[in-house]
Amino acid sequence: MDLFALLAVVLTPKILGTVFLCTLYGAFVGAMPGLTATMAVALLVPFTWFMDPVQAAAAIVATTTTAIFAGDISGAVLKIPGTPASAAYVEDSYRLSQSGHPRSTLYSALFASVVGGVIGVTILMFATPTLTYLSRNFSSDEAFWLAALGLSCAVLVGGPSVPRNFASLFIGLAIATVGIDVAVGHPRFTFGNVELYDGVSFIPAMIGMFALSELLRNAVGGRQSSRLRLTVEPLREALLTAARQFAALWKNVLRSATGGTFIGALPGAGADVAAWIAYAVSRRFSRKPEAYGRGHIEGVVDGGAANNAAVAGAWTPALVFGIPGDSVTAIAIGVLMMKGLTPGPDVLNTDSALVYAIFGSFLLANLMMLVTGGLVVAMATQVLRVPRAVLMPIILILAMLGGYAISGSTLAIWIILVLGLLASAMLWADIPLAPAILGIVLGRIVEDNFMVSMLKARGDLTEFFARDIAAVLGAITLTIWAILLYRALRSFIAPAKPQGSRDTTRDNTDR
Amino acid sequence: MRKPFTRFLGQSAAAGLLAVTSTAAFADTCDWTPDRAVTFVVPWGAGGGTDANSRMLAQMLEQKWEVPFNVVNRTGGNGVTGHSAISNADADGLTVGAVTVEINTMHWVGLTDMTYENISPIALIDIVPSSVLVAADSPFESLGDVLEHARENPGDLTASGTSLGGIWHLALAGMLNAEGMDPESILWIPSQGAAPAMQELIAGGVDMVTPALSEGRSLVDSGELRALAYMHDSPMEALPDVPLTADVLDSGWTLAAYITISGPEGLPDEIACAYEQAVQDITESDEWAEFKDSRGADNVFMGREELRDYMMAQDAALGETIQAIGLAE
Amino acid sequence: MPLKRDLVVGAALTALAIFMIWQSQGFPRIRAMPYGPDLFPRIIAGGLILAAIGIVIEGLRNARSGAATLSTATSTPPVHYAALSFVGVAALVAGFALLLPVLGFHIAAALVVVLAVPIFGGSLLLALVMGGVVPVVLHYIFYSLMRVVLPWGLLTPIAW
Repeated sequence: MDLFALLAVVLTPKILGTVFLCTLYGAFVGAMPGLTATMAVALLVPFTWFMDPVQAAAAIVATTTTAIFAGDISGAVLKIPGTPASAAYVEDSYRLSQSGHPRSTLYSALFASVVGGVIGVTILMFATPTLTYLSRNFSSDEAFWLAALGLSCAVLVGGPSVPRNFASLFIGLAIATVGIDVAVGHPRFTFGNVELYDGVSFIPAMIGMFALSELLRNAVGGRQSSRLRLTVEPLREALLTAARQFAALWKNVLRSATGGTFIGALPGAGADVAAWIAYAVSRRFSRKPEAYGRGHIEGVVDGGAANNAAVAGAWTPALVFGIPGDSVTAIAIGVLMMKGLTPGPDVLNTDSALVYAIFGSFLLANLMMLVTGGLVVAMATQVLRVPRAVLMPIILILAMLGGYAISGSTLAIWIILVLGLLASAMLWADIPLAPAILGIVLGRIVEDNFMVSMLKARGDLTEFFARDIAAVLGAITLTIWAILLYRALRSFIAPAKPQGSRDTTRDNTDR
Repeated sequence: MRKPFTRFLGQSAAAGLLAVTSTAAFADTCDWTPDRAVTFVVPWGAGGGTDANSRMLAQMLEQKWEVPFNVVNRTGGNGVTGHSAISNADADGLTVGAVTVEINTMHWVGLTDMTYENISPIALIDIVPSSVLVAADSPFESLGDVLEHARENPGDLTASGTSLGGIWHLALAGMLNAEGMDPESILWIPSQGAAPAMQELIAGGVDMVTPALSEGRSLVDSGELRALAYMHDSPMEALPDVPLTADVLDSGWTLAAYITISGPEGLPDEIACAYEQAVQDITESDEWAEFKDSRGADNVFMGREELRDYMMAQDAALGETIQAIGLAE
Repeated sequence: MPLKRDLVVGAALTALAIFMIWQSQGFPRIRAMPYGPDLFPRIIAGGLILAAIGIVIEGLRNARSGAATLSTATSTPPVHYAALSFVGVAALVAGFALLLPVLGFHIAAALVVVLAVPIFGGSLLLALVMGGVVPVVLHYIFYSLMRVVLPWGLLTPIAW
């Protein structure tokens, strides 16, 4: 079945209408802080009762895909990333939008997401056996190595100072140790608060570290800049710039989307790890590694493409085993099973019509997202035109409401406050924030999988290399760590030189 | 198909039955209705079985009473957070929630002081018996094989399905204990839930998982996993051929998790009765039956009185298991 | 200044590390294994101490060579916070967390907005207008459209 035949399945007025409405809905929900793809899909479930199977699948797929992309919108406009995956490049997209390029940035991200999504679906269709092989062999050993590999990105997403990047990463990892531990179920650093047993959740953590620290910084600006308005490019110009930027970076999109799909297909934290690795790899191979994190479009495009490709890839374990990788696919599987789909290795034969409809809906949703996502971007960026004195209080209340909405608990607001203050202190100390976020996202995954593997192996460390894929992943990770450690030590031990020669050192490290 | 659940009541519960019925005053009127939005607390995350059942029920209650039923997932503390939120809410009928089997385990392992006495049971809406699942290429063909191997080689096999001390862990350890074996002769590998555990099983990381049979159904259907036992005393309609532990084990061990709709402590009879009636009507509807069917679950219902006794019996039984396997505080 | 700052940072990180190690003393062990829930906190504490040493060395070296701070950081350059506004915003967040369950969303959010607008340089009139409009709009989006449960607090009698 080729791509056009797939589209033909879903090109009926009813499906077109459903997908259009759902991408609009997904874009709106994803762009609002604290409203997640999971909530969007959960609210959709009652409506799917009155839909036929193809329509229901299309509705869910369209909503999810767009909601994940729209997380980039709130990231760029409000500095509140919608998902831990968008957090990888939020520093860049926010700075770009602050410097007067919100639309071209978001349109570039949109194009990257659309193409990333399409590549993701294409790979999902034609490489299902390979993806299945990967996810079938993915135990805690492999998950540990993948997350450990993701952690090494910290060196590439931070600043030039090695000890400061490490400090940031370890602060994030320390935050991730809060909560009940997996091995014996002991509450750690919870100070008797049962609500902390599940740990510090990502959304309030990201809102605190990014949005609140930014608000605190802005509060200081006070009256002088209260009337300051940001410039927003005219639509036409923004689209042209975005098209140009995208055309120049098509290789990046191809690379990141392919990598993103495969990493996304792995059970666990696929999409998050995919975006961070894509961002780090992008910086590693970029001609301008020093511009990353200061408002550089390349990382936004790479991360965005990987992010949406991973969303497609994440359907592999769901469709092939009926094992949901996250809560969105869990709800989706529930609905699809209600509609008669039985996930399983031969789902492509037994339920081919429905599966192809899902693929078709993915394609259609990604294409439709160009229009609806574009519309929402055009509207959302208008927000930046209002004076700061109006915008900042709205962001403040949205940030707190967003955190509260996730858990229905005021604990989220306290987390926002504490991490916002921590982030302010880190900025004062010149410690970058990105590695800390990476630590919060991956810390738990690294530890849980390590402990589970150790329990299985009764403490025998060599077991980490006993399985084929684990051995390969482990070897790659350890090699990268060795190289990074060597370079870090060299650049650190090398005597400090004046400005000029220090740049050379960094070039060596980053190229 | 609805099944009565009176047969689950043990001796101790039957003894308690009289006391309960005599204290619970029968409300004459069951015509209370909520006059504004109701909050429906789910102690577990979106996408899980409790969430799915709760959202379906909330949706149908909303249709029935024409006020919004807003589902909120109050996760955390292995269920403590959500259960406390239900228990401590105002008993005005405007906050109800999905109290699950953990109300009978949490206090035994020392996570909280809250017990089933601190909530007002309304109705049981789902019962999810455990199972023993192995990978398709496993050498074990029957539960007997597994137990024999574990008896001869204690500590050789591994099993997973939930966190340490979670309900599926109790299912396995309790079964081993009931069969006169060391509860740790099969090593428990903690996981974040049934889904990651089944992933681990397929990837060859553990030897067996013991989640709800309904959760493993699609993988069993597709031949990816093999169901060795259903920890129940009557077969699951969707998978009628899976051997029952009640038949094959000498101890007749069974274990089921359950999901209820319950209110805060001290919910007035009039309100509880109205909910009970409404939920009963819903579970008798075709739409609910269809929903249950699609999940491969049996359609069950239990009213307030019966549920209270059931919880009491479960509390005693699970407490015994937890103490026997040394997880009690 | 940079050296002093680096010393403070190093001390703070070390203090955090010591706290983690001290707390993890009491964590239970897994039977038959030399480590348990205390392993990762200890590794992380070790990492924090190494990072702290690195930062202090970096500071000393920069102080000696007279160079500006080595790190140019990808993040925002340090800013001298006008203490009052800074504390004001932080206090608003804490106040919102405390008052939300008591006063309900409408009143708590209105208070935050009315007080936040002047901090960000807006006029009193703007503050009052926004305080009236923003909570209602957000409540409609989150509560009515997206079914997020928000507390009514004092307004419970008129809740819908």
